[in-house]
Amino acid sequence: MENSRRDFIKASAMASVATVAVGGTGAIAGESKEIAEVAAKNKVEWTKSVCRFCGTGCGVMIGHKGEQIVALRGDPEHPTTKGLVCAKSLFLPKIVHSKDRLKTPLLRKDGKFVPVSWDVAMDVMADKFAKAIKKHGPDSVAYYGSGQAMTEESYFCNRLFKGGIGTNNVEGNPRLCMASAAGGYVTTYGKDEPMGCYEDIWHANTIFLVGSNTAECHPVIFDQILAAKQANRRLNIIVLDPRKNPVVSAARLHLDPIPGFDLCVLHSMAHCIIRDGNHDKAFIEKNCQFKVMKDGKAVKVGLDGYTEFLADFTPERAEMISGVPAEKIEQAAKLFVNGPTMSIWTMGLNQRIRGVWANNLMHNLHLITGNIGKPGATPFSMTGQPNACGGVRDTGTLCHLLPYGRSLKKKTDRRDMEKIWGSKPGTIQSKPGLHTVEMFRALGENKIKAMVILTTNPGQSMPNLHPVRDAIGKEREDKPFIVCLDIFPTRTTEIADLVLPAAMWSEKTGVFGMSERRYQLHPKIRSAPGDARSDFDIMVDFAGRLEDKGVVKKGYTKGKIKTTDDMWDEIRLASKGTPYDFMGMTRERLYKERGLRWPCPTEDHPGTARRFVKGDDPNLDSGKYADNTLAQGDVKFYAAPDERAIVWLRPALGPAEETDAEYPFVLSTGRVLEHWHSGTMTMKADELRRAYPHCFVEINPKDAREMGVRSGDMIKITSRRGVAKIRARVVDMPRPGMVFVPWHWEDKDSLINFVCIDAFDSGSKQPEFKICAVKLEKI
Amino acid sequence: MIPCIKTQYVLIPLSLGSVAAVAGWIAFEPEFVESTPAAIEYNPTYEAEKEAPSVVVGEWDIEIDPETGFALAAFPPTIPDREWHQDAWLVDNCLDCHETGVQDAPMIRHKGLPDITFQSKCRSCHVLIPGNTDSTPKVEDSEFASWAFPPMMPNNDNHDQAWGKNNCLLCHEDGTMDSPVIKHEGLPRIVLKAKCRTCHVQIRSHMTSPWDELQFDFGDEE
Repeated sequence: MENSRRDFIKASAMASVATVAVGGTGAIAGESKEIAEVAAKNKVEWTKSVCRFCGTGCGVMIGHKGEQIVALRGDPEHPTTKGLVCAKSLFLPKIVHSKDRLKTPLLRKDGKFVPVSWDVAMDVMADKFAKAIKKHGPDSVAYYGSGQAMTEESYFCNRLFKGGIGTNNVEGNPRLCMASAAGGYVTTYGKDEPMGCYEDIWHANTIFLVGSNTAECHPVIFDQILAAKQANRRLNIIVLDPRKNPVVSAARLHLDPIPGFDLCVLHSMAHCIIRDGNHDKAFIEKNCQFKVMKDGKAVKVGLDGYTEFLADFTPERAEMISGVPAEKIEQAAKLFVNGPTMSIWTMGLNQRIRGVWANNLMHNLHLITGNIGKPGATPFSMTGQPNACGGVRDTGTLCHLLPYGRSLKKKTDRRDMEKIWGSKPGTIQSKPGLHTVEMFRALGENKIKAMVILTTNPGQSMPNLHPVRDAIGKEREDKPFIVCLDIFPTRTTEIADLVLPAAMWSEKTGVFGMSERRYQLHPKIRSAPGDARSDFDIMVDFAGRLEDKGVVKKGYTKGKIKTTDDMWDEIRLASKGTPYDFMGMTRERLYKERGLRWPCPTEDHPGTARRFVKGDDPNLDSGKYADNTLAQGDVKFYAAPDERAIVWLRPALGPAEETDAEYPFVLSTGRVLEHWHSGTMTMKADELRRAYPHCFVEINPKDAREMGVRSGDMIKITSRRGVAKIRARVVDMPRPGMVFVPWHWEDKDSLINFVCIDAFDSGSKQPEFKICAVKLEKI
Repeated sequence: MIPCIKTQYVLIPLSLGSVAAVAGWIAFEPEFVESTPAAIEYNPTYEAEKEAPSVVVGEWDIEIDPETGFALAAFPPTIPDREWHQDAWLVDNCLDCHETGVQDAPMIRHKGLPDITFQSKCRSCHVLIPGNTDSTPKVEDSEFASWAFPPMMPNNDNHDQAWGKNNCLLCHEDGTMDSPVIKHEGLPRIVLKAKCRTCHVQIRSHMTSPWDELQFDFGDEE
């Protein structure tokens, strides 16, 4: 960089000479050109982009000079995040330029990685997959992607595997974080994704935070909640969470249930609301229906049936089950009806074996009170990754979905996608593929012969890690071939067979879709280090080689799809005519605008703040859902059966693994503000790493006193599945009987997912990271 | 005595305008002025008038650190792990000290950042690093004893009613509103009955100060 300073001085000196010279000569003209080049080289440019981390989707401005990203700031013109960013985002420049980046393909030979050329790497990869497909059929291969891959990348991989190879073994890590939220939306409203938006925070009189450490996991959203609270003194915050996490500091009311026993609290709130006559009868009459599952079928009941069902959930009974005082449940019910009310939830509800049901119960509260479809009134699930919504949920890059609300089960949907993709008719199977937990189990049983893992780290992030790591890396006869695309070495790359160095975020152009349905483009700003290539380029290359080897139809992608721009045009086309319709989101608009929220059917459409609302949602104005009998602001759940949202009567069951004499504590896992997921990125910024250099287990002071544990003591945490050794932090945050461990550290003693349970929700297939039984020993 | 008079006469024209200035110069012999240059140039520099030592962040014109290749102030300063920062990760009032320099806190200006930044938790952007990190000047480096002077009182939105009141301990005795808990141990009882301003100086804020605009109510001051 010293050169830059010299360049600058040289440019200044030359500029003086040029200023003195009048008229100019050939020599001066040449020097002027050099001056311009040097000046251009030293100029810091600011480019609009979007943050790489959580699902908030913060607008950022990236300062760059040539290939160097020199700074990152919040984008003050961003319509929803308004210039705020968190510490993780601010350190992205250091992370991008980390010396630890993967730069060359690595192939495992005789147990050791050796650098190989791209051509060799891609040939080996294509060969392994082609042989497996030819010998064992298309279901012998699998794709495991990520809510961090770009929309174009996830869509392309989904396209390749389902419509090219012909397998539905297509999954991604959003299965671990938002599948229950998606299940909740689909079962209640007929289609996935939130109907509200971040702006609702500013209109709400009550905000209900459930199972969400918003202050640390979505800090920019929490900062907006604080600002909204300052602007609106009447705004009340209710928190439902067994841990006294930092959001409680802003709350008027904190309900701390025994982990896994909160469903009865939500039912009890509904009980109080109806008992007191605070439900919105007109809204229910017009927009809702009530259903209960009996013998595997959904049976309709009326409001009376629902009221009768809720009779069992008096606050006093809910207190006996959940440990939350009846008085607090009554207060919460009263505050909830003091709308407009916005509920925000994340993994505390989703990462549960009753995740879909818990999501249904959140929607129930909004539906019976009519707190939906108005400014400040909405149920709203936040996602943890930057592109879980746009890249995976919307593109249908999961084993049971097709793009933009289409279903594998519907023949017309399959044919529709085969036509768009140019697949051979009948290529897309109707049977769902293996979901994430089953996929790694099948890998361990050698039923899957080859797998691509893209932009994610299942060797650290999956629950019940021992069998997962064995499945990926244990040497055995007929061991499956694992290809891993990543930007850093991880706990997964270390046990893979082929590691391909990938470009990161600002090194490639693509679209992220965040929690409020806003699609935003992040442009390429610099080249990837070394030989690294974008995941998109790698997968396009791979697809072409599979065509050459005869396992994918000739011309399926080769010569047809070269860039993410090409891909985006097809993606828009795939959304056309669906409730997602974003034909109006052209590449040009995304480069220019601060994102657009779908539906956005035409190029002059501004995007949709609130779905299902007449006057806002374009689907109610034209197309198959149009209804001109509605007045402005009326709500219509057009995607639901009979166009009425479903209030579900769900059993209030507990977790998969309850505590007992042998394993008396409940373990819950989560995050801290400064780190993200498996820490492979944030640990590369020295400041962030030093903020939390080591893992910790939070223990309530009451429990610590009984165990004779002090902060700093080493604790052995044991479950029926595994062990972790972590230092204690005695703090009044988890409720007594509960311990909390964040999961960001890579050292093997701290890998808490060895301990976690892989029991999963029967509907969403999302594992119960939040609750398992453990014992603690001071060592 | 004469130089003082001359100084006074020379300064008056400067403040009243050119007509008076001409009158002043006519009334006095030039040599009187020339004989007292020190008095004319006298320009006392009070601590309060010095350009406050401060870090400005948020401006879009940036300078690049040649050592690292990153912009100077591109990364928010870390929060030192000190007793007085132990709750820093939960609060949003760091600027009470860092905007005003209370207790020699490094003064920070967030110029150019969006307004909503100031309603955010400081920890959203700033990282609290455990262990020994850079901190405020050590006591031994100071020519004065630590805590020799009562803490200054920030003059910002949180304290705009503090002037002339004696109810600061409503918050500072028990930590209400995340305020630092203050104990006046060893001081005579009468201290706690006095107006806080008797001992504590309310100092000017860089950004939010309503100092000049506030209509202070001196009516209840004795």
